[in-house]
Amino acid sequence: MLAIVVRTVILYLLVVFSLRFMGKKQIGQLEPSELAVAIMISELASIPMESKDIPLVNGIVPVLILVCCEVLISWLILKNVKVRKYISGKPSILVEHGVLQQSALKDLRFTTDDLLEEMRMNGITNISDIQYAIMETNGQVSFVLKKSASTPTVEDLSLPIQDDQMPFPIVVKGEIYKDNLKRINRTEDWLNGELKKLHITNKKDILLLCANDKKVMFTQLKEKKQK
Amino acid sequence: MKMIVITLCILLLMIGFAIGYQAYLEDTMKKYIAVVEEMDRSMDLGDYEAAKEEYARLKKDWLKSEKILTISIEHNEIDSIMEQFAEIDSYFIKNIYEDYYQTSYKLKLYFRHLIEKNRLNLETIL
Repeated sequence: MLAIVVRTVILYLLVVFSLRFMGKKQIGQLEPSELAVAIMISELASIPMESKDIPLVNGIVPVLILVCCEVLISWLILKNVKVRKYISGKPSILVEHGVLQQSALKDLRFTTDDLLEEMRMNGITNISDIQYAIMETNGQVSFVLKKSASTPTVEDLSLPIQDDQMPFPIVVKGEIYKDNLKRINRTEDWLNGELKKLHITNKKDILLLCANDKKVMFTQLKEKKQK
Repeated sequence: MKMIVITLCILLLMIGFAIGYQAYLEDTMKKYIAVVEEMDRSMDLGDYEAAKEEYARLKKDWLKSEKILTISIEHNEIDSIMEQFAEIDSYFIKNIYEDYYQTSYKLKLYFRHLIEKNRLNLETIL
């Protein structure tokens, strides 16, 4: 029984490492080959996990080989357009300038009901508002609306707005993220000054502090020390 | 680029390990088959003591290499071989050798089967 516990931990760590090694993508963004590999990895890892008769290596080696093949294929896809076309496919235009592309819908076996469903899920009700509807290689449909149906931007309204730097987490659970502090071109002295303004005497009391290059945007202290 | 280098290293390591393991398995099993055949010849000549010595040598070597072989061989295959060893043990203890050749044949079959099962050919791939 103890052997099963140890094997499970080993295989769990292997799966976590493998998926981490393959890169960061959510399930919905995976290419078909990546999704197939992710499913295969979990299946392969579970086989020696549940059966002590099967050697651990018989699970570890296939998983590692799959991960290596996946990383190499991804690299080839990145480097070569032809390989990308054959393995990932290419996006297909389903709607162009408000007109349904019937041959593309037929090739993809994508019905008008499916299209209407995707539109509703994206908050679009009128096909005529669509400039482009594109079926991406991961199976998701992305929509580009016509200007007349789009939300106006700050530029359209000619409003004078200055781009602010995104806030970064600077202090998390009392620990200073020095890389992020460097990213916003600030020093610890500046941080100490800001904390003084907020009447925070001890950094260890901070649960989360986010700041950009101009100011501290968000602060929350750990519980029981909330002001 | 670093990822690709690491990936290639892992891949080469796996392939190298597989080739090395296969070579070790084949050499070891062929050696054991040869020892079992020597035992058979000794039994044919009625030299039970010589057969017993050869068997003791075989079992000692097997118990050493079993630790390495269990990395990739399923436990039920190891158990099948151990069963034959147990039978041969009983023949030498009781000095009854009627079924010896049957057991020796099975043992050689299991050893050959390990070689064939792990060899890279069309049959094992398909």
